[in-house]
Amino acid sequence: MTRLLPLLGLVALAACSDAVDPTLGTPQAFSLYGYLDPTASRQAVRVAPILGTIDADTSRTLAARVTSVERGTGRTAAWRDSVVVYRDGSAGHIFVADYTPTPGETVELRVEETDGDQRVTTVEVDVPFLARSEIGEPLAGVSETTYPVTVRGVPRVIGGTLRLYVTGFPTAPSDTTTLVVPFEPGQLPIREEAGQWVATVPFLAATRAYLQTNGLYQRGLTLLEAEFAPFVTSASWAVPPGGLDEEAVVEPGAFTNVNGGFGFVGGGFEAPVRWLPSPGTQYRAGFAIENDPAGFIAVNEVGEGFAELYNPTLEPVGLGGYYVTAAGLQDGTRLPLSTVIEPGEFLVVDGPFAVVPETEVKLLSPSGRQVSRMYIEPLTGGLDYEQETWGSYPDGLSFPTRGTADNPGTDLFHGPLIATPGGPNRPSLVPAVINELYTEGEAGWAEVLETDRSFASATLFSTPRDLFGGRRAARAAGTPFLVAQEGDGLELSQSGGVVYLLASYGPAPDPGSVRPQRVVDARAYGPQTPGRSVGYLPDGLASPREPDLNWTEGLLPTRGAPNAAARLGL
Amino acid sequence: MARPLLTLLSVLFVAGSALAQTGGLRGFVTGADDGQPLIGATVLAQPLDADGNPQGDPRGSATDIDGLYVIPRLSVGEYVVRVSYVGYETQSELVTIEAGPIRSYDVALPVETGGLEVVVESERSAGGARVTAGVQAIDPKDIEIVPAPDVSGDLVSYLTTSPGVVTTGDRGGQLFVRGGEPSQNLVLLDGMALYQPFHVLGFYSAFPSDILAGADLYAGGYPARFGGQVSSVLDIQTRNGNKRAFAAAGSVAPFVSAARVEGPLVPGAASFVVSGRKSVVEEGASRIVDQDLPYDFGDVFGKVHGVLTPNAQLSVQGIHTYDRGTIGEDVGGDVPEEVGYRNTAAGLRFLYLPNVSALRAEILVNVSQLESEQGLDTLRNVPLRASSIGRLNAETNLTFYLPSVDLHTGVFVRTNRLTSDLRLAGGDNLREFFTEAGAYVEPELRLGGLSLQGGLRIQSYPNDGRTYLEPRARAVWQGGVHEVSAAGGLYHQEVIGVNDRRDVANVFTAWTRARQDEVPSAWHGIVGYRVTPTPWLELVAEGYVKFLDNLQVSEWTAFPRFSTGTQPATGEVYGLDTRVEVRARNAYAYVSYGLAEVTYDAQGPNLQLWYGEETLRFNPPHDRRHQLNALVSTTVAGVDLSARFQFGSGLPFTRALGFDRFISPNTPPDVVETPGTRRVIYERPYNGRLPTFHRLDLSADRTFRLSPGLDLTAQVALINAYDRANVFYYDTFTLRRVDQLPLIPSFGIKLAVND
Repeated sequence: MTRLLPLLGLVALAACSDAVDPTLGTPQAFSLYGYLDPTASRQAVRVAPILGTIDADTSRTLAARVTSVERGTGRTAAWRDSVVVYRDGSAGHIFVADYTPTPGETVELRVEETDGDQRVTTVEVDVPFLARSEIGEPLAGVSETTYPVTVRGVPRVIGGTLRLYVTGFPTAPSDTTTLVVPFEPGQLPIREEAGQWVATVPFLAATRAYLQTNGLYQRGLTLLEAEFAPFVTSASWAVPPGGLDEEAVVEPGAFTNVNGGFGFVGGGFEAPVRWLPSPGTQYRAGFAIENDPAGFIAVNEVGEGFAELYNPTLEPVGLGGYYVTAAGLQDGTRLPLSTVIEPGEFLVVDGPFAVVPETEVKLLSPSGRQVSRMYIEPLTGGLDYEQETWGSYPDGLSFPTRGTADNPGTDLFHGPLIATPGGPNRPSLVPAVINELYTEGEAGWAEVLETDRSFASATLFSTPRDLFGGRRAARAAGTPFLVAQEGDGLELSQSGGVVYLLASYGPAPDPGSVRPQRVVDARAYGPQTPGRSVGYLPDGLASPREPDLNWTEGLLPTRGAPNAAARLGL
Repeated sequence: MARPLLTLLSVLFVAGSALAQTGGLRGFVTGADDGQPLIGATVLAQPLDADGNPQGDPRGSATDIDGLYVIPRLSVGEYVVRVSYVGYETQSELVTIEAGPIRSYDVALPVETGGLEVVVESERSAGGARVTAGVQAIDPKDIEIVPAPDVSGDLVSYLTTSPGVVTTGDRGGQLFVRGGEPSQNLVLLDGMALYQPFHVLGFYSAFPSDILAGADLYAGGYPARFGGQVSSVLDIQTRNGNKRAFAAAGSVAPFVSAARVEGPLVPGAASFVVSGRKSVVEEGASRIVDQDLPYDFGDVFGKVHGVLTPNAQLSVQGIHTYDRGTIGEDVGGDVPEEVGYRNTAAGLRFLYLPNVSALRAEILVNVSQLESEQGLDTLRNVPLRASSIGRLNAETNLTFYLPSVDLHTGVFVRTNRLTSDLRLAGGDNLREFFTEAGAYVEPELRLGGLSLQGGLRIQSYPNDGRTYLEPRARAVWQGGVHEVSAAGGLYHQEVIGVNDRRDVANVFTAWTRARQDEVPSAWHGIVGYRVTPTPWLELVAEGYVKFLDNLQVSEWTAFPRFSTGTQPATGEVYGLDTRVEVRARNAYAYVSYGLAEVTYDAQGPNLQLWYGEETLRFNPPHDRRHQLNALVSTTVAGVDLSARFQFGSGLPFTRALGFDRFISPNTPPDVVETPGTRRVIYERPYNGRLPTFHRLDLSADRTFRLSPGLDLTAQVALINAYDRANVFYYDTFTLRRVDQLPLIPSFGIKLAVND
């Protein structure tokens, strides 16, 4: 027996448990990621189940039900599951809802297990109020040009996206291409001062690095417009200026607002602002530009005895030694050497100028090279309007259309104006106006009111470069109202934007001819309250010189019908 | 500092010189068969009166690693000098000591004939229980008793029988000595530093037993001549080679094949030894266990030793090791990355004994380098991560044999080079060169049975003005069968090894200098008691503490990927090692039990955020609370039988609560396009324990004499004899289990000529 003891001992040891459960499980059910965007009509939240193994199959339908409710308004939304297969081959569950959260509301998102322990994961999301961004004067240095972008009255800004709208991209040279320029860590300083958030956009350095890295530097890209979209968030999305340490916040529970789970769901939106950098800045960044620092200065208005120049850029431009002339260099008015035109400002040049059809007024460089011109088109017959001057509306814009041998063509942004030397232009003939705008995710609309019998049709668009991609307005039967549904080149963002009205008007043309088309109205609008519209009350333009008179926010949407104020409590 | 030191040395030189009316005796004790130094041989000088009768107490000495003994300040007269060593015939001779220069008296002891391989004796200096104040002397013969899948023994197999030595598994070659980390161990081979000398397969190191003359494992409290590391010192001496005849051996086994040749270059005066091993795991063991074992390793060692004059010896030696393999298994998730490392070292050692003084002078010049890498960047065909460490070392060690005092002192200067290419986010690539210089003084006072050894080490880095002053102390009292010992000291480590200790399978270490004010340091304290109640029984118990400061431990993040992110920590190690050794006539048994607790307190900037506490207290993954080793060896019918049983309580590991995805909140997430990062939701680090580890290894060896001088040894071994499924680790990122090696039958043969 004694001899057997060691053997028995060994058998006992061999039978000792050699198993241990390395995964304990957790009462937490889901990890949630995403954000609620008060400018979007569709919301998306990633629901990641907390699994017992790292490679559990997540491609099937998730046994979960997602609902949301706004605390203040009581609005609810139904969310549906969709399985996404990512580039890395993994699958994820994205729950989406066709719903635009109300700014300023708190939304409770609730995810319930529909089997097993029926655990519940919830998160409360504060939806920030909407706001617009403003761009300030650039700060130019030897190797950098930065633009301050300010957002006022918002809880927090945690970053932003710089987008460039360009033509000349190698694979699609004639299309407008959108490039997204990344920032190096710490390259985009954002600070809060006096209740406003200011992002200093390193346009030159970031753009140049991006174009060089991608082989696009000085390769013939033309910059149409730059856009910076600060990302505005609720206060709880507390990302410090230098960003959170991801090695730290990766720890579950380290940065979370989720109960019964992990992750973070915030509230936020983009508040974009667009601008056109100066030729010098563009050149240094790597774009193709006209070889003149005054290349973006526009001849903006021509009237009796004066011509008006306009600087649409954000930087001052020196015009000393330049000529403004209706004929040749010798007959022109030479600008004094100290002449500088400030950003967004007008410069009125007195001289022998007049509104003479089929003539032009030009801005010439000191060497006599043409920088810009304003062609005064033949007057359109059969129209009842008072032409005082000729120029651009809105200021500085131009879109010449191809002419024929008999017809030099027209510029869709040029036309007869009310004389406003030194000030923003206003068209003298307004056959239709933008009467009401309504935003609702991607289902907004713009309403046009016919104001002159010469009006024929209207197309609405959001950016000058999408002029021909706009939406045609359709007449509401039996009314002077026409409505264009959002889509294509007409984008009606909840956070604000600009809408242009391209009108076709005039008497019925001769066979083979077309009615003239011109942009006759442009309307900028700010952040919108869900369920409300903005427009004239009462309907229509009260005074051609005061376009903002009677423009009212918070209307009840009245598509294709006279505008109406919201009633108390609605 | 140079002038006072020179003055001191001059004084000591004069003091060590032979004075009027006294003389001295010194010499080398070697084996008559092969001329190898006999380490630990006893030399006693018994004074005689005019009639030739014993008079007064004898004076004695034990030989050191060179077989050198020194007995200074002997009165003029006649002495009987008795030299004895285990396994050799004792030799006695009449020697006359005259006033003046110290007398040289070398002894070559003949091998004892008709003796047993397992010898019972009481004056042994090595053995499982021969531990004094943290130092264990290791005899190569004891190494070969430990069952291993190799006909020849390997030092690492023996080390793992020590109660304070913890390994995390069969693979990786990581030894944790009394709570310290592998990068905190100093390994010296004939004075050359080796940074990662343990092969990827845990049975093997760069030190096969047949090239070893001896080794000392300082598990803590080591003396002032050692420094630069805060945990332990393994000081290894190699054989000089046979000075009488050529000898050779070759072996084949499922894991390694080996060959060794040695012999005289100048008979009796100069010799060489060359040894090489090459793994055959993929061709051999992998097929036996039907398991993928992707390991390739090997080592080659060479040494030339010469006796230049009766009082001067010179040796030149070099070693190269290489390892390559995938430690982790593919258990899903990321494919395990291959790790590789190569040690290269070469150096010379000059030993000089001046005629006019009782002085031993040793000069070492050597160069060491370790290159390691992990993973492969397939685009550029370079390692994903690479690191190297190297140094050029020059040092002089002097021992003055003064009355009742042996004074050890020395100076050293080193240039170090560190490189790291980690290719991690945020950089961490570095190239560093720096110089260190220092000195130590270590008087050893002997008063009867009491030996007191003080020590002071100064280590300086002149490039940036860092200087460390390290006091050391050691005391041993012997009275009859009892011995009480104690040791302690302060230690600093300038060069630290950083690795992802979260993942046991990840042995890649990046070497870097500690930042100013963050240099790891340790206080050691050891108290031991040993008793030898009978000649065949020895028991020892040692309690120890280590207080560690400025450690850099792996930072836990939930990203399932390699990281060298660290956070500062302090550590406490408490332990008790006990050993019992029995040497019966035809049997040897050794049982050791270690009780230990290792605790780290980490202070990281994220701990408050993660755990709500500024300090994270945990037991690191090498905290083996209980460890038992039992070794039995005997000879039956000419067959050497050995059995070894190991038991270890479960090691800490980190459990998970679950797995999910992480998407950074730094930017607005596009959840439709962004897959997020896989994430492990860990419980607090190391809050779980793996199952207990236990294993039985068996071996049987039989040597056949084919002809005079030609021996064939056959070995049969069973590793993990009852096929215990011991957990190697749970993959840190997938929590999938990887087991240690299963039952491995091993068959090996060794052919030896004149060995």
